[in-house]
This record gives sequence, structure tokens and C-alpha cells, in this order.
Amino acid sequence: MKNVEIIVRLDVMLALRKMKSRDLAHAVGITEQNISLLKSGKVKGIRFETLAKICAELDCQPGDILEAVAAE
Amino acid sequence: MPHTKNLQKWSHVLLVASYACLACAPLSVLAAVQSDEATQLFAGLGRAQIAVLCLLWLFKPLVLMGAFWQMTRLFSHFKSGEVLTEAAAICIKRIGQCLLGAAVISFVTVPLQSLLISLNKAAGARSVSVAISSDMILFAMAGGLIIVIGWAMREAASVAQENRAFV
Repeated sequence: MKNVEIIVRLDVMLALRKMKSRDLAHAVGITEQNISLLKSGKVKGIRFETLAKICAELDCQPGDILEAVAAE
Repeated sequence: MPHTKNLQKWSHVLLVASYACLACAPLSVLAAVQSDEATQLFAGLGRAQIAVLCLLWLFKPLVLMGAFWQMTRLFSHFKSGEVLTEAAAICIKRIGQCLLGAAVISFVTVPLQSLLISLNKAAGARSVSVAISSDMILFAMAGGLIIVIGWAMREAASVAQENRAFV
């Protein structure tokens, strides 16, 4: 089986939408620290509820935020 | 969490109670040693016998003090909101071990105590008594139950830890 890892592209989407992490954190209802952890990929997972709120706020699809890439 | 406030409030009360029990345990040993019953028991015994008897009486309160000490640590964790943590689970498990230990000590000290008291008697009049009281059974059952709860808490703590890693 091919090794695949999930990369979080939240920073790209934030840049495209010209939105600050603080504003997204406030809108989604999670801490800025968690947004920062999410951006850096230092989390084990993301709840569907959080993902749905982020997608709604950034007007995008989960695939725009998460990407599966082959692990080196 | 809906019960956090209650948990913190009662943990504070129980923390104070645990410290009070911790302070009272040595006093109860002193009171037991100086009681009329003990004086009657010590009559006719040698110094070494009395010393060993006092040591035997000391074991159970010491183990119970260990349980009270672990309780103070547990309630401190709970008071500060650390409920599903590894540290709290370890405290719970140790409280159970102490209670189970107290039951075992009670069971072992009764024959030793009876042997020591009757040691000065003539051959044939010496005796060893073995007894199981409802207290021992209660301590053993409570200890076993709390150890199992401690293991379950450890599982819960690891699940909570994993859950905290989710955003």
C-alpha cells in the first residue's frame, strides 16, 4: 500500500480569501492556537463539525483545505 | 461539562477532609497505644514483644495514611479541573492498592498479634488465631473496585488525550 500523508492547505485558502487566522478562529469558534496548530499540521485530526464551519466560512470544499500527498 | 462545578466544589471539600484524616491517623495510633485495652494487653509482655506489637499496629495506619495522601493528590487534580488525566488515574489506582493492602495487613497482623501475646505462656497454652472480619472484606472489596476503576480511568485518560489532539 502506498504511503500517503494529509497536508493542510488552510494557510493557502486564508491567503486566497484574504482572511486573518484570528478572524477565522473567531468565526469558527475555536482558539487561534488551534488554528495555528491546524495550519502547521500539528494535529492528529479535525472534527467534521470544525471542517464544515471552516468550509462555510471560507466558502470552499474540504478538498481545498486538505490534500493527500505521497509520503517520502 | 455539566458536572465540572460540582466536581470542583466537592473535591475542595474532600481535599480538606483528606488532609484532616491524614493529620488524625497518627493521633489515632497514639490513642490506641495508650488506651486501657492496650495497657491490659501489654501487661506481662517483654519490651521487645511490646515494640513488635506496636510496630504491627503501625502498619495499617501507615498504609491508610498512604491512601489519604493519594486522596489529597487526587482531589487537588480534580479541584484544578484535571479529571481525565494519567496522574489522576494513577492516584485512584494507588488508593485502591492501599485499601487492598490494609485488608491484607489486617488479615496478617491478627495471627502475629495473637502469637506474640501468647508467646510467654506455657507450651500448649500458646495459640494462633486467624480471623476474617467484615472490615477486611469491605477494605478488600473497596480496594479491588478502586484499582479496577483506576485502570478504567487510565483508558479514559488516554482516549481523552487523543481527543484533545483533535481540533
